[in-house]
Amino acid sequence: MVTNEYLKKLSESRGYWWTDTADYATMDQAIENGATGVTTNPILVMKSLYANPEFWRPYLGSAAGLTGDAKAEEILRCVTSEIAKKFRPIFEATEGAQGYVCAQVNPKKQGETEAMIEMGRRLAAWAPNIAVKIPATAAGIRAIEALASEGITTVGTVSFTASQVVSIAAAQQHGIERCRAAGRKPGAAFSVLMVGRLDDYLRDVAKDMRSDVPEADIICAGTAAIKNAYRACKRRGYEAKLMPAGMRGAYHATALAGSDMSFSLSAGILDALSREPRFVEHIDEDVPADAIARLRTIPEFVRAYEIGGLPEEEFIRFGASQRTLSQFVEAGWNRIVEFRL
Amino acid sequence: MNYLQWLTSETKTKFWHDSAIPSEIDAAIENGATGVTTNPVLTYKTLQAVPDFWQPMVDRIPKDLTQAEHAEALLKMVATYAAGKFRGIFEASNGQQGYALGQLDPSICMDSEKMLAQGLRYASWADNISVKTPSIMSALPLVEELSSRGIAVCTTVNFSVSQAMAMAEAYMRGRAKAKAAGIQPKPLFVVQQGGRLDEYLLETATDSKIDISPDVIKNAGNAVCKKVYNLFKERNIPATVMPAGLRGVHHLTSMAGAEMTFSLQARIQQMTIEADPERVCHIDEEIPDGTIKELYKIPEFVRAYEEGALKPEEFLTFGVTQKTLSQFLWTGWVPLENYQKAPTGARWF
Repeated sequence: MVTNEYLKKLSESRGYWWTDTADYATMDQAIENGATGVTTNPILVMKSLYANPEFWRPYLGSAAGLTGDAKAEEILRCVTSEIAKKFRPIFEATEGAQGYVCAQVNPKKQGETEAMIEMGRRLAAWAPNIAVKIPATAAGIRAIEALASEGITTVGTVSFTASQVVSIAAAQQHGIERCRAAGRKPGAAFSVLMVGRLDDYLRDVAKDMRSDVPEADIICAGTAAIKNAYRACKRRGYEAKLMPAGMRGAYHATALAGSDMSFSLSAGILDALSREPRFVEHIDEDVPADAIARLRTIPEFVRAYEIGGLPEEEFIRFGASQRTLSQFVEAGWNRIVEFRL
Repeated sequence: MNYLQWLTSETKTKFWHDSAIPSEIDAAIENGATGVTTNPVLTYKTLQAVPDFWQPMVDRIPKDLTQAEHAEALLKMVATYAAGKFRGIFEASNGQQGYALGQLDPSICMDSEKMLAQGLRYASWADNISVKTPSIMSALPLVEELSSRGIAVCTTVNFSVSQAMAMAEAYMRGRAKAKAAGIQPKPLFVVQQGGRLDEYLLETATDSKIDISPDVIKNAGNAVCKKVYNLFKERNIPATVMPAGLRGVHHLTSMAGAEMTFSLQARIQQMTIEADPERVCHIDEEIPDGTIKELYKIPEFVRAYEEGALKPEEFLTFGVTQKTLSQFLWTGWVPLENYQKAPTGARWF
C-alpha cells in the first residue's frame, strides 16, 4: 500500500479509519495513511498466523504447553499486545478516544454473559489500548454494559441490524454513565454494523425466495441499515462511534463519508478507495426510497432495517449472526487452537 | 452378538456408517452397516486421516480444474469408493439400502437450478449414490425432480417437523410421477440432526435467561424426530427417518426398534458396543407431556416442533440452519477446494 489520498481525506474529515487485519507488516503504512486503530477477530488472527508463521512463532513462546481455549487466548494475547504497541502513541495523543486494537471474546461463549464479562476483563488487562469486542447477542449486550461500567472500551460486533447497533450504543451509554457516576474515567465505545455481510446474507435469502430485487438494491441494504442506526444514535445522544465493517466494495465506505464513524477497512477496500477520484460527503443522502421499498419485500431486510425490527432475544437467532459466529469458531478460533507452535 | 448386530438383525432398525475412512467402513459392515454417510466434512477428514491411501487417486484428478470442480472431484473419488463397498447390499435390497451420499455444495443451496445440475452429476457417479441436499425451500423442486427420475435422495440440515414434512411431500409428488412413468421409485432418507438442535436450543435459552434445565433440553431433538416418524406412519409416507450427529448412546437406545436408519460415527458404534445396553425396544415410549411442556418455554423449540410453524422461506433463515451450513462450508467444502492447492482467497472472510 502506498499513500492513499482518499484515506488521508477521510481522516482529515470527521471520520476515522481502522485497519481490518492482524498482518503486522502493514501497520506502519496504515498509520501513515491515517489509521487510528486495528479491528481484529479470530479469523483475521488465524490468517495472519498461517500467512506468516515464522514471523509470529518467536512471540508465542508463552503459549507452549497450553491446549484448547487457553492456548487460543494466549496466542491472541501475544499477537494483540504486539500490535497494540504500534498504536499506543495515538491512544495517548487522543487521550483514549482512538488508538485501539480489538480483541474478541471466545465466539463459542456468545450466549453466556458471565463468561464474556470475565474474559473481557482479562483481555482489557493486556494493554491500556485494548478494545474488547463482544458479539451483539442479548447476553453480549448485558456484558457490554457491565464492562463499559468498569471503564473498559467496548466494541459491539457480530451485528447486522439497526436494532443491534442501537442496543449496543444504549448499553454502552448506560455503562459509561454508571462509570462516571462512580467517579471513574469511562472508556470509549464502538458499535459495529457488518454492512457487507448483511448484503451477502440477504442476497442468499432473496435467491431462495426467488425474489426479483436487483443486485443494485441488495448492495444498498447494509448502507441503509447503518444510516438509519446512525441517525437514531445521534437523536438519542449516544456517545458510541458507529463502525461500518465487512465492506465488499468502495461504495460501502463512500456512502458514509462525512460521518464521524470509525470505518473498519480491509486490504481490498483500502486498495479500491485509493482509486476513488475525490472525497465527497454522502452521509446525509438517503438510500433512494424506491430501493428501500423493493428491499422491504424481503422480510429479513425489514428485521435488519427498522429500529426495533429485531427484539434483543432474537439477535442470537438472526441467520447472519449464526452464520458469522459459526465461521468465527470453525475457520478462526479452532484453527488458532490447531496452530503449530 | 453385540448390541449393533442384535439391533440390525433382530429389530427393524438399521444403521449406516458415518465416516469415509476405509478401515472403519469395513469394521462397520461387520457390525451390520447397510450404507455410508459421506459429505464434504467427512471427505476432508478421510483425506487427512489416510492421505497415502488416497494420493494415487488424487494424482489422477486433472490439475486445471476450478476450485469448485476440484472439490467436487474429491467428493466423487471418496463417494464412489464408499459406494463400491455397499454395491452388494444395494442390489440384494433392490435399491432400498446400500447407498453412499453425494452432498451438494453448501454455498449454492439457495439456487434450485444449480442444485439440480449438481445433483444430476452426482447421481451419474454410480447407481447407489443418493443425492444429499440441505432442507431449504430451494431444495423442494430438486427433491421432486430427482425422485421422479428414480434417484434416491437424502435431505439433511433438517431440524424441524416443518422441514421434514415439506421434503416428504415433495418426495411423494416425485414418487407419484415416477410410478406414472413406469420408473421404480427410490428411497428418501430424512436426516434428523437432533444433537445440533439440542445445542442450538441450549444456546438460545441461556442467552434469553429461560428457566429450564439443560437435561430437559436434551430431549428436544428426539421429540422432533419421534414426531416426524409418527407423522410419516400416520400419513403412509414411505420415507426413512435418519437420526444423525448423535451425541451419546441414549440418542440411539431411546429409539431402538424403530424403522429408522441411524447414521453412526465409529465413536458412537464403539461406545454402544462397550456400553452393551439392555436389548429392549424403546421407540414406542412417549416423551412425557411434562417434558414437552417445559420445552415450550423456548420459542425456537416451538418453531422446530409444531408442523407449519416454520414457513418454507424460513427454513434457510432458521438460526441453526445458517450455523450448520456455515460449518459445512468452512470445515468441509472450502478445505476441499484448497486441498493440495494454493488458496486463492476468493471467498470473503
